[in-house]
Amino acid sequence: MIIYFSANHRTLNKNLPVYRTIVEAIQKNGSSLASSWLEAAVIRNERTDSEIPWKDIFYESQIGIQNATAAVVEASGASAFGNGYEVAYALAYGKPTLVLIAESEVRDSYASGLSHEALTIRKYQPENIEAIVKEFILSLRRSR
Amino acid sequence: MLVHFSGSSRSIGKDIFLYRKIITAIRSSGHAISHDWIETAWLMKQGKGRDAKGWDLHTILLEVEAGIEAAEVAIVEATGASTLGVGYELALSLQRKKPTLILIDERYSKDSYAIALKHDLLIIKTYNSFNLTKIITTFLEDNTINNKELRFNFVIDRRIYNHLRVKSFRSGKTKAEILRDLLLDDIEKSHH
Repeated sequence: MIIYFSANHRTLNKNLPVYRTIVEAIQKNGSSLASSWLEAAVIRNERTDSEIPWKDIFYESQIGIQNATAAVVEASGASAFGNGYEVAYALAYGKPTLVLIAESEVRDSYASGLSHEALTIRKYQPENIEAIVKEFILSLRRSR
Repeated sequence: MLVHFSGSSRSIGKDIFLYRKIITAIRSSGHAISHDWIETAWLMKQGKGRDAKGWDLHTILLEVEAGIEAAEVAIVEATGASTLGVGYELALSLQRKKPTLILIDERYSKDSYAIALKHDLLIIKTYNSFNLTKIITTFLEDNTINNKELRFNFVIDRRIYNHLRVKSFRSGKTKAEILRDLLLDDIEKSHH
């Protein structure tokens, strides 16, 4: 199964452990990533002269979502414009989409108010992200 | 014409004057807002903040979706690190086939994901305080269709003509009526 993972590039430094946990959970449960952008973004962030390549990110997101079986989006708090666009895009393509919101930020999150038949919204703490992602992937397998 | 306006409600404290300027430009052009959220968000920010009881996000998002559905065009202020909600609403507007104008403050355009977007119905403009109103009024003029009947030349080949002629004979409808019915049906399906 191919999973498209999306998260806020701007808060990469702050949330990297969470993003890596999500990526590992996807891979540990036998799925592969539609786009391996995370570690490239980490390297780019380390270079102070680097701008975020929005055109490349947008293009890869469109292709990644179209080719994926499902999408997982980390959408906590003041999360990015791009993530919102990608959630709507994934749902329009009929991709089951898991939206993860940090429990500490649920009240502040636009994503927590969304509803769609292909959408699963889950609050998480760092300790239970892996279990939530695993449950989502298992539910995809059961429904196929 | 009804216009849906999206902007970050998180930044309402900072951007209230900008948003009011955008709304004024829309109304001065003779158009109306499909979902008027700005002054409510401003009052909540001032007096009640985001702790207001009865602030039901699900209901608000249903109203937003209804506003997008009802509108004929959309305008999105998408400068810099604007929120997930604005990106989501932009995508919904395009999926509902609404011509959409994205406004990005020219001082921060390099920092904006929105500058990278591509879609047939999308126009992206960077603005400053001097040209903002003109950008909006030009977009609205370009997308205003009068309620009068519209006509254009529709060139077809023999095969299409014969097919229409047979359908017209069998149904008792004119060829134009058959084509209109087909298109209305397609419009209906694309909304579901």
